[in-house]
Amino acid sequence: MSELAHTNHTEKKDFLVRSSSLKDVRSFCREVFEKLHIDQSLKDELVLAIAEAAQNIVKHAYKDSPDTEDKMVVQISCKENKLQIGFYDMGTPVDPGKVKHREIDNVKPGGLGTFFIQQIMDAVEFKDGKKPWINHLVLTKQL
Amino acid sequence: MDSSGISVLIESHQKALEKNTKVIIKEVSKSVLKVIMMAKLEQILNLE
Repeated sequence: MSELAHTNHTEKKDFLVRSSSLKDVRSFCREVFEKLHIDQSLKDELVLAIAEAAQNIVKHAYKDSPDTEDKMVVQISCKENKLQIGFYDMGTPVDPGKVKHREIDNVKPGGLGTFFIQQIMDAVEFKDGKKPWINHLVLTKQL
Repeated sequence: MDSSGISVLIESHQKALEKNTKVIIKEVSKSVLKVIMMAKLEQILNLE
């Protein structure tokens, strides 16, 4: 692990809530993880989890507003080898009890985004969104 | 490759089965294979 990964490091960026923003979300995260010298394999996994979470905001929190001009914020923090990725959005409030992935053995298209996130991250928490935010998702990974 | 890509692979695989044929996925990169394995599909999809 790099020296930087042992220090406090936080970066955040906002993105239009659109599927077309996902490429930029991935690029932003890759850049931050490169600064943190996270190895390629873990970096790929983390970027996948982040892209899935961002996609869920577009697909679910903004399901009824595909042309929104709202932005979502992705914040990556690393403190004492604990990586925290925060997502903030102003979409429809998420009911954490309803966030479920499909049964993995029931092979059919869809329903795997949340499964991937849970497989990759150590913790997935929905927190109360403080104004102006409605949803605040925090993904945590011990490095 | 993300869950949307996996959905496309599953859909193609299932449609091919319905037509009594199959989709063969060739030259799978390490990173894509990792996602396929995470979805526990390596025994279901036809990988070469």
